Order: sequence, then structure tokens, then C-alpha cells
Amino acid sequence: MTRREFLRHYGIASSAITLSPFFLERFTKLSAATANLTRVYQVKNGDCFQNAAQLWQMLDGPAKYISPTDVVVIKGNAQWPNQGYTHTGCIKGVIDNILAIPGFSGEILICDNIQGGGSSGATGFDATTANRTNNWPDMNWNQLAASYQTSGKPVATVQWQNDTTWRTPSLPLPSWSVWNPANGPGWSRYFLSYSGRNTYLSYPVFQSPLTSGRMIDMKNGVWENGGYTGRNVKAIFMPTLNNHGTGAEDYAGVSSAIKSSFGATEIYHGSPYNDDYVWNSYYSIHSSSFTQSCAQCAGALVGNYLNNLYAPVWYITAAMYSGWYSRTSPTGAAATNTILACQNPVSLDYISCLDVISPYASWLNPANNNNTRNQMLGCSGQGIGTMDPQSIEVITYDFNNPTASRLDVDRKIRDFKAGNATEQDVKDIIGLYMESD
Amino acid sequence: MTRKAATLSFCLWALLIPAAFGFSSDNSSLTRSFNQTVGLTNFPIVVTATFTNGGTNALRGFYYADELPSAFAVATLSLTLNGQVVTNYTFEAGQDGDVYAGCTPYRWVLEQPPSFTDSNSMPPNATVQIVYSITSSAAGSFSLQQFSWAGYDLVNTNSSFGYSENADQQSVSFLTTITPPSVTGQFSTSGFTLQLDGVPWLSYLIEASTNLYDWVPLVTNTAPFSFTDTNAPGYSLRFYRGRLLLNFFTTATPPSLAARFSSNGFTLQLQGVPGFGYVIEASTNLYDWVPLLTNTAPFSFTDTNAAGYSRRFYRGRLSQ
Repeated sequence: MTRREFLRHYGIASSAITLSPFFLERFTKLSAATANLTRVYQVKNGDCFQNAAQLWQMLDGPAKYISPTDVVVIKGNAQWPNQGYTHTGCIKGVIDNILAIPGFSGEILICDNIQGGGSSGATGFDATTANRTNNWPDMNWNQLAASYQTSGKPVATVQWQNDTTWRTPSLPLPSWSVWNPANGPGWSRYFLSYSGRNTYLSYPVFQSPLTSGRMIDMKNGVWENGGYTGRNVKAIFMPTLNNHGTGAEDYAGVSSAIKSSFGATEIYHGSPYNDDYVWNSYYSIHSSSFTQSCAQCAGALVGNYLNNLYAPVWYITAAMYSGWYSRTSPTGAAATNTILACQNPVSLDYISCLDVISPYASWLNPANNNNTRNQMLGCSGQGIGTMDPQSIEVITYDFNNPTASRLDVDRKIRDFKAGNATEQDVKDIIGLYMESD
Repeated sequence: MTRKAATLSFCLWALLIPAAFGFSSDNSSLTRSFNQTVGLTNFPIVVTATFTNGGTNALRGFYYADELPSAFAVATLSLTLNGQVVTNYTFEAGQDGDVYAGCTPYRWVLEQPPSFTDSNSMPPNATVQIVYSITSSAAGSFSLQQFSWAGYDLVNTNSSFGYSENADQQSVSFLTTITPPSVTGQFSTSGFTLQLDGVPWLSYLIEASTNLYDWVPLVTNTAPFSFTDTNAPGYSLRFYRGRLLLNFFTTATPPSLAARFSSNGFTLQLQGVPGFGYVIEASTNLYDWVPLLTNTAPFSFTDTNAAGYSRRFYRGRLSQ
């Protein structure tokens, strides 16, 4: 649903007004309601680079969210081959625009824990050409980072390793066991009881591969020479959009934005086969949710993660291909040519599933009672995002039917005023707006 | 001059000289002006935007946008096209930071493209006037931002637009309280000279009376100022007072009080702007006033003590 369609459908773009003070009061409130909608951005039918560039433009540019000195962590989904890992071209498209921030002197790190390492040659980091079906064929993530470094760009990959040093949490729950970067790489752990089950969530503190002695603390920022420098770490989660099962729903439902936090925390020693393992009576996020066949628990624990550890500045779902049948089968994905973005994973997954993948896989329709929806219910139950269609504004750009909005016009006028656009640029976008349906 | 005074000085300048439009891609013009740039919290300041189509053809799809501090509540008071009230338009708000950090875009859309079904075509030389209020519950000085317009010439498929270049560089202030003015006086060679001190650059009025009941205006100016009443020697007794010119409320209907005796006293009915706060006060000498009840209009009040007075005056006024 486009923004215009949404406004028309729900009657928010009211066209009647009287001068009654009562009406004015109500009208003012209507406007405020419009302003409070959660936005999901959707770009489709361009190539991965066009889509990424257009998305950043719709977000008003990366510089609005990322400072030139920031360390940017792009957390992808790396574990599975083909469409199972985040589309490398989409990652490149996102990175190219960040690198174009004037004076950018930070770092960009492409990261994931790949839940125990995956199979050699079949992960996002190292996918062989044969394992790049329904993905960007040119490079895997490591090759992409290497190509940037060859041209002097500060881009690298990091596979978050697992820390075998257990720390007993201080009670009562919830409680923190904070990792000191002076001790090298490790994990800061947050202990809580969810639904009566003691669980730990954690985020990595890791060595920058680009700057010796620089530790990246996802919550507290950059650490160097014995202290935090004040330089920020900004995370962008870039999930896939895949069915977790095979030809039908399994215990997880969709693998996308909500579930992507699983790759940003520990799952016991990274082993997918021992996720029931208990450390000092505390279970991993996987053990406390999907292993219990509880998708709603997964969403709730991710909500706890976002509320208590850190939250990314954006989620960008790379759905150039959507593995509607499975997350790995070369014949089980559709070329959906879409990328989407939102600042919360619930609304993003809702729209991604509703608009992009469920037309191919009805069992992933979040309007139905299924595990995809259960993930969202659990996460939104922690106050994260919304899955109420009336509270979501979908802003779409379709390269097959280019449009512009009044917001685009206003921003272009602003850019013209600042000397960053020409008069003709403004006229062009107004012309497009006037012709947009 | 203090920074605050300098700001207020600038605001006054902005008030007196409506913000002229800075850039236009054709011969159209736009101004944005304010009934005042210093107001009270929760009371509206009225903004008037006036656009004239200077193009050679009708302008279609016109909309006006104002980037206003997100702390403001914004409501439309009127929209006219060539003096005729327009009701079929869209008033919308964007989100905080959409275009400028800390600001929310507000737009008045006369026609929705591409079909322009709202039929608010704007012929050459036509004028649109949009009057809206801005209100803040938070006190402070707020920097204003860009205002702009966009339209389309269907005949030549030509876009046109304009925006405030530097005309938007002003601020408005909302105050929680305004210190009452002080008026001191002394005899001088030419009469009786009064000195009014108040909030610098706010407008005040000095009035005079011989009976504390009937007041006549003598002078209006911005504080601080002095005034010599050269007619003073002609009076055996003359009282003076200074008060703030509450042009904050120029769009609010003055309150009215209706009264009647009732079984348990004297019942008053106050009518005013719904939702605005008013106070009913009473006096026995028209000089000393005591508050009886503060409420939001409309409301009624019964003075059960009225029977205890040989005479009692009542008045209603906006509460601050």
C-alpha cells in the first residue's frame, strides 16, 4: 500500500474543515495522529544498488543518522548459502552511500555470529560462486570488504566469535555482567527471567580489524587506550527475507528482522546443536524460545534485547530474493527485487511478510495465526513497534512507476536552499509529484 | 542590550515587517506574518501566509508548507482563495525531523495531483490566504524554519515553487508569565509624567480614569516608555494604570457573563472560547477584585455569598 493509498484508505488526508473551534481542535489532533504513524520504507524493482541509493534518499541520507567518525556495524544474516545470507549487493549499496558521507573517517564492519560457524564456503562471509544463487554473484562478504580495502576504504568483516569465559551474574535479576574491553574480545551479558526461565542475552565487544587496539562495544561505543573515546558505534541490521522451514511453516516462521537479533547475541558456544545447554542455570535465547517451540518467546526476548542492550539505527531488509520455499533451495526463492527499512523490526517484518513474501508463501502471512505473527506479537508485547496496519505508513518507491511525495519536494527545496540541488532538480521532483498517482 | 532583549527586538522587527518571500521560480509572491512573536504558553499566536500567483497561467496542485518547531500545536483558522472561503483542502502534518531537525512540516494542500479533483485552481493574480494558529505548552524561544510553496502549470507542464530564503530567520517566544507593568509618575513642567516598565518590546497601554470605573486610553507603546499627560492639570483627581495589550487573544471572543438570581444565590454563566481558562472575579468597589472561580469555558457559578453584600460587581476574564 502506498502512502497515498494508505492516507486515502484510512481517511487521514481529510479534505473538509469548518471554522468551529471544536472542529479545529479535532482537526489538530488528526494531524498529530498522522505524524505519529510508524513508517516502513519500501523500494522495489531497481537493481540492488539503485534500490539502496533510493532507500537512503527516502531516509533523507545516511548522514542524518551516521556521523563521519562513527563506526558502523552492518549486521547481516550469514549462516546459510544462496538466498540464505544477506544479499551482498544490497550490503554494498548501503555501504557505498555511507562512505559517501562527507569526511567519513569511521569504519564499516560487516558482522554476524553465524550461529556456530556455518559450513565452509557456504556462508555470507565465504560463499563460493556455486553458493551465490539468488544472491549477488560477483563477491561474497569477505571479497567485498577486501575490494574496498584495496581502494583504501575502511570496510572489513568480523565473524563474532564466542566467549568461553562464563561469568556468574549478580542477583537479583535482571542483572548485567559487563565485559571490560581491556581484557580483549568478549561479551557483555544481560541476565533475566522470562516466563519463569532464566535466560541470558549478550552483545559482543570485539577488536576492530582495521585499527589496532580499537575495541568495538556495541552498546558503549569505541574503546581505545584504556577508555571509551566518545566515538559512537551505530548498528544497521540487514536481514534476509526467507521462510525458515521448507515449503511450509516451521517453529520459527519467517527469518527476517526480528529473528536477526539471534545472530547478534550468543547461542551457546555458537553451537546450534547444543542450544539447550545450560550455563549456571541460564539458557541461551534460542534455548528459551525456538527450542521450546515458542516463536512468541523469541520475539519477546528480542524485545528485551532491544530494550536493554542496544537497538540498531535502522533495519534494512534485503529482499532482492525472497526464499519463500526455503532459505537455501536455489529453486525456492522469488526475485522480489525489493529492499525495505524501518526503525523497528516488528512493523518491518509485518510489511515485508504481508507485501513481499506471503504472496508466494501464504503460511507467512502475518495476518494469520502463525509463528511469523507470533514472533511479532512477542516483540511488540515488549513495546517494540506495531503490527497494527492503521498505525503503519508504508512509503513505497517503485522503479517501474516512479513517484514523488510532498515530503520529497520539501526536502529538495531545502537542498536547493542549502546549495545542494539546482532549481531544475526542484522543478523535476515537483513535476514527478504532480504526475504521481 | 541583553541577548533576550536583542531577540525580542528582532521579533518586534519581524512582527512589523512581514516576512517577504525570498525566492520564487516565477513572479509569484508569498509572505508570512505573525500577530505577535511573543505570546503566552497555551495561547495561540496567529500566523498569516499570503500567496499571490504571479504566473501567466492557472496554478494547479498548489500547496503551502511551513516547517514549525515540533513543540507547537498547529490549527487552521481560515483558508481563502480570492477572498472566498475554501473548505475542500487537505491539512496534513509530517513527522518530527522530516525536513529540518526539531521541526514538523505542516502543509495546506489545495489540490491533490494528479487529477486535481479538489478543483482549487488558482488563476493568474489569484491570492490565497492561510491563517493558522501556533500554540506551545512549553515556554521558550523557538527558531522558525523554511516555509515554501509548490505548484504546477498544466498548460506548459511547468513546475514552479518558492521558499523563504532568509525571511524565515526569526523566532517566536512563549512565556509562562509576564510580569505586570509598573507605572510611576511625577509632576513635571508640562504635566504629569509617567514611566512604564514592563517586558521589553511588549506593547503596553496607559489609561486614565477619574472614578476608577471609566478608563480612557492615553498612549500605547512598547516597554519601557515614558509619557507626559499634559492634560493632567485640568483634573482635580486622575488615576492612571498600565496594562499589557493582550493581542495574544485577538482571535478569542471576549468572555460574556450572564447572571440571574437563583434560590441559593446569584448564578453567573460565563461564555468564552471553549477550552480556554477564565476566571470570575467579584468586587464591591470596582477596585479590589477577588477571584471566585477559575474554569474552562463555558461554565456556570453560583455565588452563595451574594446575599451578604449590598452590592457586588462581577467580571470574567481570561486566566493566565
